[in-house]
This record gives sequence, C-alpha cells and structure tokens, in this order.
Amino acid sequence: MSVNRRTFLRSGSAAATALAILPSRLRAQFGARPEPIASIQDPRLEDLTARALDAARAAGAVYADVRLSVTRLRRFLIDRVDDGEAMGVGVRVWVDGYWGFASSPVWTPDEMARLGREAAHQAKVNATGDPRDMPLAPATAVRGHWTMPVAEDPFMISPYEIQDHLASLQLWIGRVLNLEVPANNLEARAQDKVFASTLGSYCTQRQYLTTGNLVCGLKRLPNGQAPEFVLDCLSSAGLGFELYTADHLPRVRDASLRDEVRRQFEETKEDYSLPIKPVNVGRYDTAFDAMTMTHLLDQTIGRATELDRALGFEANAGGTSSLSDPRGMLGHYQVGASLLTVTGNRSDPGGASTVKWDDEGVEPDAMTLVKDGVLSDFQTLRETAGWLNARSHGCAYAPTAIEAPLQREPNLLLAPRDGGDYSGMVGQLSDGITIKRAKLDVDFQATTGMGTGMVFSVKNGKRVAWHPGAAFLFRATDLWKALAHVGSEPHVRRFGLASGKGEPAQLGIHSIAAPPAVIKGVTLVDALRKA
Amino acid sequence: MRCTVLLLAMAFAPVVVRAQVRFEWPDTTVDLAKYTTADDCLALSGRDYVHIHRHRQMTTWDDTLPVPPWLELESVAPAEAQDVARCMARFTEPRTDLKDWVPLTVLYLIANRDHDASVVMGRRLAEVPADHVHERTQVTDSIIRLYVTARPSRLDSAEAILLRRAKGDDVFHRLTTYFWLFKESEWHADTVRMQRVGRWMLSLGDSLTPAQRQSDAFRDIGKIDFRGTGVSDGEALGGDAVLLQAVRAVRGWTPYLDSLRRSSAAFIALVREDWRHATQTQDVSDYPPGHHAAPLSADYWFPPQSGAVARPTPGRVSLIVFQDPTKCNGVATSDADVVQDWLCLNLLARARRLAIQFPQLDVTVVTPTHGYFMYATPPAPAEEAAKIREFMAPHTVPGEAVGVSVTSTWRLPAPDGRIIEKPWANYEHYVFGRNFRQPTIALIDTDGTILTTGEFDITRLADLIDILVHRAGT
Amino acid sequence: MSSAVSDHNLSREACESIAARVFAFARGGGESWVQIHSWWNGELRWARNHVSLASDRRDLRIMIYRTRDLGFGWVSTNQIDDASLEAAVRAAERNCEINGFTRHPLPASDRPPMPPFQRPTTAIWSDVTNTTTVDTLGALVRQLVAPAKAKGLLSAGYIEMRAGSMMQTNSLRGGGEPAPWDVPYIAWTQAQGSLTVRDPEGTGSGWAGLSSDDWSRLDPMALATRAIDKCVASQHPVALEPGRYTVILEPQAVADLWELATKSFVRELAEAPQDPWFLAIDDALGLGRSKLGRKVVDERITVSHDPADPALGIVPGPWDTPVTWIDHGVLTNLYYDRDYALKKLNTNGGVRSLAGYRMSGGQTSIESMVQSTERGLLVTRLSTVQEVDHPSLLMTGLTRDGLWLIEHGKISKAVKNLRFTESPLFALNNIDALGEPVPVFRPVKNPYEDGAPLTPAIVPAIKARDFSFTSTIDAI
Repeated sequence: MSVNRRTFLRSGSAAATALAILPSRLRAQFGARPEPIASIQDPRLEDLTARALDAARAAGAVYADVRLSVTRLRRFLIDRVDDGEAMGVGVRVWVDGYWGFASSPVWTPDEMARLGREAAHQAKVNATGDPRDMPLAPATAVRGHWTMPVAEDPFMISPYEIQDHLASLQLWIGRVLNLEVPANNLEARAQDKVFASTLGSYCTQRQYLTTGNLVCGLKRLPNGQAPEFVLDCLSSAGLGFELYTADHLPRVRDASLRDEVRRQFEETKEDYSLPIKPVNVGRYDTAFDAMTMTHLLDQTIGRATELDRALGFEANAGGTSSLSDPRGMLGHYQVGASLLTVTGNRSDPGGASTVKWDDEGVEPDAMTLVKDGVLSDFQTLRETAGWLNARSHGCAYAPTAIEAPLQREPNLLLAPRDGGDYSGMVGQLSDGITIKRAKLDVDFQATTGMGTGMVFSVKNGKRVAWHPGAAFLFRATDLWKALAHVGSEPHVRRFGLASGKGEPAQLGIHSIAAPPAVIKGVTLVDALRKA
Repeated sequence: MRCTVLLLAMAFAPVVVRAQVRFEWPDTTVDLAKYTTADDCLALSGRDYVHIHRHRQMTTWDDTLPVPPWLELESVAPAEAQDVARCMARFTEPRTDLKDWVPLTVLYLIANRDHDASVVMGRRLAEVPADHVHERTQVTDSIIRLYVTARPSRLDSAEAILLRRAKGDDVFHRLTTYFWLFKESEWHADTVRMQRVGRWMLSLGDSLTPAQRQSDAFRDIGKIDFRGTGVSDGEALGGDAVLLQAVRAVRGWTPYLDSLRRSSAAFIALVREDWRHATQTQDVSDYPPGHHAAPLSADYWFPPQSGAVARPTPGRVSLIVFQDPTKCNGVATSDADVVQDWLCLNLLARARRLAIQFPQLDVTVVTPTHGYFMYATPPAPAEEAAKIREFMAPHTVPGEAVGVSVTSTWRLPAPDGRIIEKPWANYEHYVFGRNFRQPTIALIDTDGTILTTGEFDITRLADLIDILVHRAGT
Repeated sequence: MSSAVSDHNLSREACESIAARVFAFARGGGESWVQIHSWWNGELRWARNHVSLASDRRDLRIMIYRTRDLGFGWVSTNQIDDASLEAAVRAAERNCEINGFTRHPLPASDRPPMPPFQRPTTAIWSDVTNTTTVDTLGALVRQLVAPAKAKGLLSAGYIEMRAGSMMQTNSLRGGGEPAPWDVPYIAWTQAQGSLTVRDPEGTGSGWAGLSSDDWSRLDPMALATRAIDKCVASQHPVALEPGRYTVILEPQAVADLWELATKSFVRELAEAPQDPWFLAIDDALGLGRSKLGRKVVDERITVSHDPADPALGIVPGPWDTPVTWIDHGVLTNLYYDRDYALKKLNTNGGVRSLAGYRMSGGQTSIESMVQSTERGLLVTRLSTVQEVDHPSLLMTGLTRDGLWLIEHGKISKAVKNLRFTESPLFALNNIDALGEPVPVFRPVKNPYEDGAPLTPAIVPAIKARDFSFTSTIDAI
C-alpha cells in the first residue's frame, strides 16, 4: 500500500489567516458603571488609587502606598501560542514600624477602600506600642510615566512572524549544524504598573521581560555521549524580541544569534571531545568562565549584601548572611581581593531588574557593594536603608501587585579588569583546572558552597581531560580573596537568573554580569564520593 | 475629579463589575522585509502548507478515501506560492550564498522559478572539483531528491540529472536514488518512467553480490525522506522489497492478469519468478503467495453463524483483512490517542468498496483482543469482542464476517504482572519468514491458495478479484 | 468536605456560574474546559522579635482551554466579569487558528463513557484555618516571641492560613455527573507555622515547624519552645571532622532526605537502565525488569498513602486508592498511568504518584535513640538537598538549625553544620532504630505557583549507621 508524504506531513500547525477581533478596552470601575480606559496612563486610575490611600489614612495609616498591575504573558512555540493576562491591586500600610498589606484582583472603588482599611488593620493589630527599630528612609514624591525601551515589542509583532523566526532558526540548526532541537520556545512578559503613595507619588511604568529557551542536541559522539546544550544568550532580559533578532547585544552576545549557536556548538564539541578521567582531588588554580562567575557572585555576595537578609529578616526562609554586623563591617570588612568590585543598578539597558521607579516609588541609584575588595554598601529598600540611616537604593520588588514588595537583587556586575578573555586565562595555567557552566549549592548564610559543572584539567595552558562528577568546594570569603585575575570588559557576560525569596516564596528575576576570572587554590573534590 | 467620583459612587448602588483584561492581538500580517534568509522563507512556506492542509482536513475527512494521483500532481496552493514568491523576491541567481542552496532550491521550485533552481544547483555542482567523484555524486543525489520531492515533482529534470550521475561502486546510494524517482513516478501515475527507472534498478540489483545483499545498507534501502530535507526517516522497506516493486513495474500489470486468467498456478509461478528475481534466491518458502491458506480461527464471530463455515471457505474467493485495532490507534486508552488512524480505516473502506463491487467476494475481518478497549474497564473477552465489532460498525463491509480471537497471554509473576501476549495464530499462519511483516490483507482463490498478502493496492486487487470470480463462474 | 466557604474564596455557585458563562461565550462549536482556582492567604511574618509584615491576600486563576476546527487554545485570566471572560474565550478561539491538531480528534460525545469511579472524599477543610484572623495571630506571635526575647534571642517566623477552592469542568459533560477528568468543586485549607530562633551573635540557631490543613493541630507554643531550646543548645558549635557517623535524623530531616526520592517511583522509567529501581534487561523477553518485588530497604519500612487521610492534605484523583509503595522493605508499587495499566497490565486505573506518603516507624523515642548511641550525630533538618547520582539516589545537602554530637549516650556538644553525601536508600538499609511517625513541615502549593511542590509526609525519626558527611560548612 502506498504511503506518500502528504499523509506523513500531518504535523504541526499554524494559521495564515488572522482572526480579527475588535480590541476590547481595559475597563475599570470608577463610579457605578464600568468605563473604558485607554491605557495604564489613563489619569482616572489615579482617582482609583486615591480611594485606597484615603481609606488607609482614615483607618490610621501613617504611610500607605498602592500598586496596580496588569501582567500579560505570551508563550510561543513553533506551532503554538498561549496567552495569560492578570490584574492585581495591593495596598501597603505603615503604622509605627509595622507593615500591613492587602491585595486582590479586583479594581473597583469599593475594593480599593476595602483593601486600604484591611491593610491598615493588618498593620495596626501588630503595632502595639512596641515600635520596631526600623525607620523608613525618606523618599520624595515622584510622578511620571516610563516605558522600558525595547526595539521590538513582542506583543505588537505578528505572532506568526515570531513563530516563523523560531522555525527558521530550527531549520537552519538542523540543516547547517546537523543538530536536533528538542526545545525551542519563547516567553514574553509585559507588565503595566501604577504606583501611588501618601507621599504624593503617582507614577506608571511598562516593563518587559523576554526569555528564550533553545536546546540543541548533538548526534551521538564516538564516546557514546549525546550531549545537549542550552543557548546561554537567551536567558531572561529586559528586552523585547530583539533578544533573538539583534545582530549583537552588549554583554550578551557579540554576534547574531545564529553565529552564537554555531559558536556554542563548536565549544560543546570541543568540550566533549576531551578524554574522560577520574578527578584528582586537591587544590588548584582555576579559570572560571563568565557564567560560573555570575553564579558565584549571585549566590555569595549577591545574597550576603541583601541588607534584609543580613539583618535576619530571611532567617526563617532562605537564611541569613555572613555579613552579620552591617554597620560595623561597612567600609572595613574584606570581602575579597582588591581586584573585586561589585556594583548594582536598576538602570542597565536590557537588565531584568531595570526600572525607572522601584515598587516603593523610589528611583534606584547605582550602588557599589564591594569596592576593591572591601564591603562598601548593601542592597536596600526604604526599610533597611532607614536602619542604615541612608537613602534607599531602590531594591523593592514584587512580581505583581498581589504580592507585597520585598527586597530583591538589582542588576549586579562584577566589574571587569584587564585580565583578558577566558581562553587566555586557561592558557596561562601550567597545572590547573578550568570550570565552566557550574551550578552552585550555597549554604543558608551564603558562606560555603559546592559547585558542579564542566570541570577540565589544564596542563601547560591546554585542557587535557574532562572530569564528570568532579565538584569544587568553597568558602566564599576565601574564594573571593583568592581572586587572581578578572577578565576584561569585552568578555563580560550577562545572564538573567531567577530565584525565590520570602514567605510565602516569591519569584524574582534579575540580571548578573561578570567576566571570566582566575581564582587560586580552589578545592576540587569528587562529588560522587562518600566519606 | 476625585470628589465627583466619590459622589457618583454614593449616588448609585455600586454594581459589582470588575476590571477587564484585553488579550489584545496585533496585526498578524507578517513583515516580509524581516524574512532575509532562505530558512525564513522556508519556515513561512511550511507554516502556510500546514495551515492549508489543516483547513482542507476540516472539510475533508480523508481517512478512508483513496489517494488520487492528481493530489501529487497539484501545484502549490496559491496562498503559499504567493507568499513564497514575495519572500524570495530578494534572492536572485547567481548572487545567492551557496551554503543555502538546498532551501533556495526548494523555494525556487515552489515559486516556479525552475531556471533559478537549476542555476543554483549547477553552481553547487560546479563548486566540486571534477575528480571528487564521491562528493559530486552526493551532490547529484541531493539535486535529484530536491527535484523529486518538489511540489509538484520535476520528474523530467530529476531524470535528466540521474542520467548524468556517475555509476560508481556506491551501489546502495544509487539504488536509493533510483527508488526515489521510481516511487515518485508511481505517485504521479507516470508508468512509462516508472518502468524505465525500474529497469535501471533491476540492472543494478542483478549486479549485487550475495555479501552486498546481506549487508545492513541493503536492508536499510527504501527509507522515505518525507520531509524533503535530505534526512531519511521512517521504516526501511528493505532492498528486496524495493527491487520487487521494480520487477512488477517493469513487467507491467497485464501479464499478471493474463496469467491469473489461465490459472492461479500460472499467477503464482509468475509472482514467484518476480520474487526470485528480486531476491536472487530460489527459495520461495518465505514468500506467501502459493502457500495454502490456513483456516482462520476466532473465538467470537459476528454474525455468529459466520463461524459455522471454515474461513476462507473452499470454493469461494476470499479477502481476509487483518485488523489489529491497537496498532491502528483505534483502540484508545487516553484522549491523546482517540483519533482515527488513516491506515486501518482506509483498509476497511477499501474492503467495503471491493465487497460492493464484487458481491461474490467473501470478506473476513479478523482481529485479536488485547484485554482492553478504549477507556473501559478491561472487559471480559466476549465484551471486548462486542466492543471491537461496535467500533468497526460505521465501516461495515457488506456481507462481512468479523472474527475476534481472544489473545492468549501469560503474565510475568507478581508484582511485575505485565502481560506478555502470545502470538496471534491468524498472523502466524500468514507470515512465512523474516522477509515479510505481518500481513494487512490476504487474497485467497477458490482452492484456498494465497495469491497475495498486501502487495497490491485496491485497483489491482479489484482486477484480480474480477478474474477470480469470473473463473469461479459465480 | 465542608461546604462553608467564606467570602474570600469562590463558592461552588460562583465557580459554576463562571464555567457556564465561559461555555456560553464559546462560538463555533468544539469543546471547552475551564479550570477555576481561588485562594486566600492570611500571612504573618516576623523577624528580630517583631512582626515585619501582616497580609491578607487573595487571587483567582481561570484557565480556559478551547478546541475548535482542528485547533486548540489555552489562555488564563484572573478576571471573572462577563467582558473579561468573553475576551479570554475569544483569545482562546483565536489561538485555535494557530495551535493545531494533526488529526481529527474524536469528539467527546463519541467517546465511550469511562468506567465508574468514586473520587475519595477527603476532608481537607478546616473552619478554624479559614476563620483565623490577624487579630488572633498577632496576639499569638507576641506570645511566641516573648520567651525568645526574654532570653536575649532573636525570633523569626511565619504563620500562614490559606483557603482555596478549585473546580474543573468540560462543556460537553456539564450538567450531569462529572467525568473523571473533571474536578468537582473542592475547597481546601492549609495552615503552616515555623520559626527560627537565633542568638544575636549568630552562634546558634534552632528551628521548628509544622503544616496541616487544620490550624488547631499545630501547637505554636510547643514549636516556639522547641526552636528556643534548640537555639540555646546549638550555640558555639565546634568543628567536627567529616566522616561516617551514626546519625539520628529527626522526622523533619527524614522527610527532607526522602523528598527527592519520592519523585523517582515511576514504573516506566524503572524498566529502563539508569533508574534507581531498575533491575536488569531480560534478554529473552526483550524487556527491562524493575526491582518490584525485591527488598530494597529495611523490612521495618513501609511507605504508603491513603487518599482518605486528611493529614496528607492532597486533593485525591478520581481513581485514587490506598497504595503501598514499599511494604516491609519490599518495593511493591511504582507510579504508572491509566494507559500503562490498560495496555500492560489489563487493569483499570494506574497507581498514583508518590505525592503525600506515610512512612512506618517504631516506638523508640529520640531520647532513647540518643541514650543508645555511643557516638553519633543528632540532626534537626536538612537544607538544599540535591541529587548527585540518579541510579543510586545519591544526594548531597546541608544540615541546618541544630546539629549535636552524641557521645556515650548523651548529647555532648553542638557541632558546626556539615554537608552530607548519602543516599536515602543507604540510610534506610542501615537502620538501628525508628521513632513514631509524625507529620512534618510540608506546605503544599497551588499548581500554578512557582517552585517545585513539596510532598506532605508523616515520617518517623530514624537512627541509621554509617551516614556519610563529606565536609564542614560555616553557615549557622
């Protein structure tokens, strides 16, 4: 019986015809009747927020703020699109050092008032005349609108175009590189926010977060392995579809996406071509790639310098910080070698934490957390900055208005020096180790940890063997003090990393950028070996 | 403003109306200016094709229709062709990047730019030094495949290139390339070309050594490249089966009919001769035609009285349809596989057409049980048999007998407990060796001799049955 | 199951109205599904002996799935007014143009009916949880903090009341008995309470916590006392040489160690190499054999689940029945789905996955375990447990909030936290003593929330030999 390709090609689906619908307008209730509003900048939303603030004040709030959010998600695969949209409102009230919070998905004047009263009640129940030693750092009223600049708004591009782009990429990868593509999808997120406070702030923002996921699989190698690699340059970023289409993205990739796929493919082939040998435990000078450095930065200094963590506000959840005496340590404590400078910001173009105003209405500033190895500052929001008697650095963040803002990491950077690139660093090791793409398991004080990744031994500047199952152990302070070389600016790489924090846990995504680096005397162990 | 709102809120009883989400949808027109590479245009073409095909499926449930040859001959749908033409406007020969020659060729052919296709293919071939015979041959085979898999196929162009292809010692690649052209010719109802190419295949087949015929490469011949990307997929037919098709094509259909008119023995002798030619062996014990048809067994017959006579019934022309619903996805256990498989229902539909055309034909459908049926609680065998019958009811073949065999099983000891099915007798009796897969149908003459087990499509079967029933004088 | 649902969750009637409206908005035929979640949280968080945040939060999730014209569309929203639901349905139908099936799916109306089923009714609703207010909790937290403060310690913690409702239904089967894949309206509650007490110098840390559907099953004062006692006892820990030790794992630590192992009980995977429960390939039959029927751990260990057990707080599925995965040390069940059951076993219904379990124990108290230990370690709980080798279920992770050295039958000193590299299978094969099984801190999540869901557990304390600790860590 004949089977022809027509009958075989019953795969996938996409529609060429557009289903035109009349765009429905955002509606909210301002009075008794629903009224359409054009966008998040509609001035009538300020009246809505005022209902919440007025009710909070009437119920005893010393300070109150309110957030509205509309979050849109669109997920793309080659043959599928899924959509989600959610609205929220959250009211926060401060009474004598105690916060109360109330939130719901309902935007009506009555609900605003209810939330204002409820948040005030939540705060007042606990404000029993025993004030906390946490004065809020001052803030000024802010007004205005800000839209995160993106080159290509993924919600305004034809979904078919995006799908064709993903499909074209996959065709090219299969045809030219002869690779399988087990995963190829994209998630676009856009969030419109309103912030208003009893300080007189009223501001609106539009933020984007785009995340790509492209996994390529090599055919089976002579050693029996069939490795896959995830494209590094598609991690979450404050960008639009240019995450895929741009010819280059500063600190993300130096060339087009296809060139980057090819580069990573060559790198993977090379990595897997090295002979597999058991690990020789010991201490080695180690060249780390940029990705591993971002993870190290994120989970040690990045966490330790969250002031709320250092003060013990996460003690029952993620843990505390080794920087346990913030006031005493600031300006003195040696976190690492003099080569180490770590800064934070919420203004980097393309950063996942980039905003104009944080979720407390503070315009974030640049922060130098570690300068030349010395602890210089902490990440703060108004509450923790107040304890330091300093200005908030604007690190308040909530995923949507339904969650209360928490202190979350800004865009972090391990400042580049003049150490060159990763290959050069490997080339300088006479008897050392190089570690790439390590994942870390760091303790609940961000002090000690273990990393597993691709571990290679290096002899006379060349990689000679691969050690699957090897891991490195580290103590954060020792590690950073042993920093010997830090790579140069052109070799800084930025990744979007997700993490959970708080009770209940909230997901936050921020960007970390770092160059490759060499650290001396890193302890190498066999992760699979028991005592 | 705020006061006004508050007053309004107090003046009217508040209606519980919530704010509304929008799910805004952008203009879906694609911006072809952004489609700068051949892969971009190929993605667009693929999406168009799938969409058009899907929409066709919404109005045509073709699961049981025969595949008309003009389906293969039809041009690309206008919507897709227009999109591709516009997308490809930026590509002109000879200025394109040769690394993209494969998708460029596919797209030129969709856009009816055959001249550009031949230019780019020619450029690719010209890149290869004349003395790199192996590489030249690989590129040539790729060119042939591109012509063959084009929509519609460019069979003349493919054949012209094939004639210039080197005839080196890469016999398996060559046979595969011949087979591509052969098969596409068949689907295009281009009998003359089919026979011509079939002769080339046989000439090559005759030259193979026994060692070559035993090789894995020979067994892998016949994988169809459905996607037209040059990457083979699907199950291999095997070199023997491929050559058998060539033998049949070269002979033409008439000799089979003539021989069957004389006698079944003459027909069997002819097809066995085909088999020996194709396999270069004398032993026909593996080959079903000519064997005596074993009586079918079943535990439940529908209608019940149909089991009272032996089937196939001596003195009757019989068509047996082997239907295993689980292998057809027709017996579903989850939402995911509750779909109707083209292959199995098509088989029943063909049987029905034959039964209508030939009232003298006895049709017996046999099927095994598996201990489950769709979502139902594992039924008792009688119940499962009834459910299977009910499932096939919309495709009833007039006058058919449906025999359901309860599959014998044994279980791995507890706690594993997995069912291991014993072979189904009806299959076992109609498979005679490693060369043939489980049969889908069997045509039996009045003397109980197997004439074929699924080698011929429905029009051929109709011709054979016509002769058999006339011979029988029924 | 209580029908009393407060106004902070969607009632059955509200859910049915939403479903009816979604189905009414559908155009162009086909089929629709809707899954409706609502939840409310009452949260109280404190640190440094003061409440830091008290919240009352609520949200909805309406997930709509449409199939039409050989396509399907999936959208989610949290707005339930007519205009929003209609916009969502239109969006799902618009996505049907893009997301296509490859074949004509059989319409639901043509599918034969499913066999009879009885969805176990499990009472996972507590009026106490649903109605406990911040007023009550505020006063309570002050009582929990006071003793820590009096000792000059810092108390941090979190108490959460959660109530939710959920329903799932299909347009072609509405109005009759729900089909198995529908979820009839369910309301559920969950309460959790945990605290960490530390000394201001950071030399000691103690933790205690518990979760349950019913707040009244938690004894917050007892938790606070335990956390304080552990903090005091854990101060000024000394470094201990890593190595193999007899270990007494408190129930929380046992659940932490076993957590990842619970995800490995999958039959189809166990019949292939590189799985912890894989035995061998049977060349004769051409299949993989699993360790089903073989002894895999100590015969005193039985791991089971009863869907009617409210202590496990899991919403049961339609065919959920009690399952024993490990019976007196023998592997007796692995998860498989209905498809596997029908095709490979000819049985009706699969075995649920190991979400929520009870592990058997014994009668030995922790005090007795300590007394019988010549040299060993007492572990409160484990943190950041990860798998390092799947076939052996070798895990690594850290001890946290209390680790003590036992010498000559007494706790002799607090010890710095250690990293372990050990397999729970090894530990369960080297058991010296077992305590009485108790519930532990295992709060569940809504399906659409971030993070991996934790498995509710009722587990004993375990004393095991030769537990491997591979390095010291600095974190306290």
